[in-house]
Amino acid sequence: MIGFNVLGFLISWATFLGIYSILSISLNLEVGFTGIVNFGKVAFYAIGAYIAATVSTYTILMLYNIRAAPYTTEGIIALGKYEYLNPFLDAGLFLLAIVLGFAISGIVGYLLTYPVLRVGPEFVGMTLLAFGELLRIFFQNYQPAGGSKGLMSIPHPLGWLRTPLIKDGLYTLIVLGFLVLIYLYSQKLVNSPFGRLLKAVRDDEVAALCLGKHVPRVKATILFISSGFAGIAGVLMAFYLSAINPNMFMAVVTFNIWGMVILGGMANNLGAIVGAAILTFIDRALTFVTPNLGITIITPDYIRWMSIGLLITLVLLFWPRGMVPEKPVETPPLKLIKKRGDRNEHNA
Amino acid sequence: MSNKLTTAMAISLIIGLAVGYGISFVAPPLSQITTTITKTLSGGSAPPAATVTVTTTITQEGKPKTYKIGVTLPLSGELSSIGKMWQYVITIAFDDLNKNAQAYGLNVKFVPVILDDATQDEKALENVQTFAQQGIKVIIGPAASSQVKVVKSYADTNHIVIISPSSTAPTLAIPNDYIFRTVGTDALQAKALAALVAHEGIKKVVVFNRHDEYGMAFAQFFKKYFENDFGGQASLMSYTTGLSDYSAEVSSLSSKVQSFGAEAVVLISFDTDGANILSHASQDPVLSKVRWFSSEGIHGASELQDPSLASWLVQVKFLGTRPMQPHNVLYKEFVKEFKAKTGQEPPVFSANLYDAVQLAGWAILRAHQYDGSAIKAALPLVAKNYFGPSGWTLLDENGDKAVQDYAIWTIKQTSNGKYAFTDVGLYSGGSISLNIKS
Repeated sequence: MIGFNVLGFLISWATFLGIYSILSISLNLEVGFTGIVNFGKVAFYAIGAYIAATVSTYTILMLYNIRAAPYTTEGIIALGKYEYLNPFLDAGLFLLAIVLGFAISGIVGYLLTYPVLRVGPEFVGMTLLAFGELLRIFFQNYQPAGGSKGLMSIPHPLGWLRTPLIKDGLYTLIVLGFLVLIYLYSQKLVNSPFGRLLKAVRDDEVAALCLGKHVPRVKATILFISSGFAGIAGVLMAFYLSAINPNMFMAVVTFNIWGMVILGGMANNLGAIVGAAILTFIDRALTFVTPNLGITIITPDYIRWMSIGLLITLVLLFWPRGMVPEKPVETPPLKLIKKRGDRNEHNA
Repeated sequence: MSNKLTTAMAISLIIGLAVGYGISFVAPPLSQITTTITKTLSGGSAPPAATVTVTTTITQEGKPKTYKIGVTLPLSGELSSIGKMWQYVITIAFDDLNKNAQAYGLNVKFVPVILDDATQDEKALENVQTFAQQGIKVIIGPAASSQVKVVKSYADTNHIVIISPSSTAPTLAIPNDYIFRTVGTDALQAKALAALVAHEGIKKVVVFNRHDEYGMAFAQFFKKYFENDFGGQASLMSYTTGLSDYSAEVSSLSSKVQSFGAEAVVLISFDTDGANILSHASQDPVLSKVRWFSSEGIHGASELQDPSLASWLVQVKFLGTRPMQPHNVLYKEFVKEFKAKTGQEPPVFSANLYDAVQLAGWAILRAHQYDGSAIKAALPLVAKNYFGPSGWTLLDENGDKAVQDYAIWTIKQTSNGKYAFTDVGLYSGGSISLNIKS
């Protein structure tokens, strides 16, 4: 018997859709709009997740005067006892983690501009990929962050609600709320003069420099903003899962996000969401489909990767610019021209 | 006129619904028969182990009362090879559970609701949430400890009983939570290994372990038991995993063994890393003079049967521990049934999975109500009185299998001149019995 429940399916899918859409918008700002090849996106996601985990667990233990680290059995037991006593504390910790997750991930992204500029555009991807792996190994060996065991009992901001459907549904709305805010901000950003500058840097960095544009500052700014967004996604994921470990932040996560951006369409924020929606839907739907397959010649793993590979190939063959291709920047004159065009059509 | 009629009909409908809803609370429930049965809980048809009283409710119409049990399996991902075979175990276990319940006159039916967690932490949580939203209160799985960690907080908050058949991380040994495990933790095996090393007269050891949750936790528990219970001295040394060659790490180990004055090395590894470490150690004069011990992680690695390495292992009197499949009648019956269905031997932890299903079913009946807290309270009592293919399922204060026997294994030369993995002893009830002279 397969446990299919439409509402439950929608809630769990929408949560992952929200988190991965934030990540794909974040990557799209770098690679799609600015031309920064980032193979280390997972690092900023991990920073956000670890900030959420450490800030929330250590704060609760400190406030209740528990002299145990959150990764020890004593700490885990104490967290289980105290984590949902005060809903305001849980909500406060969530908001604090969001702010810190954005700020610290953003600052790390900003600082990475220095090595990125030194190695030149050809090696940016590899440099950031190496940074991601370096950070994962650091977390694996850094005991205060749980080391290889990771951290658990991260207090859910709505954990005090007793009805699973309401709790999960509300958290999904919070995640989608963040997605809407980030999408609107990103749309505003890429349609502003700064957005046009991003595209100029992407299309011809030397030309942008010759025109007097401060390319390093542009790259640093966009890395700050997009890394901060990835940090927020990490925070949302950590509170959703309530436990994290270093193996969740392997390089494959980055390539999954790349798949979403390629599928949806580079330099289009809506495309990034469409790509995330398709891949997370396939992922979630297979959970229900796989138990029906039984023992087959092709294992479900291969079915997943084959179907995604086939989909990306088809999209690149028939829509090389992705399912939702890049659109011109919505400048005021363009809006005016469009408006006049609409009016003329209407009159005709 | 028609508008008025529509309005009147809508009002009547709403009033009718409200009245009907109210009546459902006031009206007496369907007549029910409460049956009290004193029954013997055991898997299959083997001799009884203990008795327990189960009370259940049967509806008068004779329609069986259905209980859904969630099952989250690794049908894809890293553990998919065993996950797919576990699907057959689930079928056998639910068939047996339903047959047994009906044989005792209980008009109930247990139905598995299976979802794939792809051996991923996030998907395990999604599955548990999906089950919770459907009102399911008992879940079998997930398989990996990292997955159990992710679902623990959700299960505790929402009063959902989780029974994992294969999670062994000692960090999950937490009392009064909703996590139960039908397999002994690595802490138990660490104790068995410490007892084995002490039994061999060793007082000073270097523990060379993987730098991951399995290796770190195992090493720390080994040190604790070896020093506190057996008066030995253990120095811990971990190595980074995922390397293609461990020669540099083995050189450091050699220096450590010499400076510490160790009499033995305890290796906590998986198969490929462990085999590489042993092959380098066999070339090192210092490491060839000390004894070597290991856990179950390296058992089965084909490199250990290579004559040059195997002869060195014989020379250093290599011994290891591994969770032993209990050779009881119920296990043999289970294997026979599994083979008849699949034509293959059951994979690791199959017996523990089978017993997890039985415990879940009988705990629901014993609880008298389909409620997480009541089932949680009933489960240890049922487990105390149940003996299945994995043996006696008694749970400790943390909800983990309290009694787990371990086989002691080594590499031995067989009559045809080849080397093979051989069980040479047993750790049971805290004592070691060996069939070979050390």
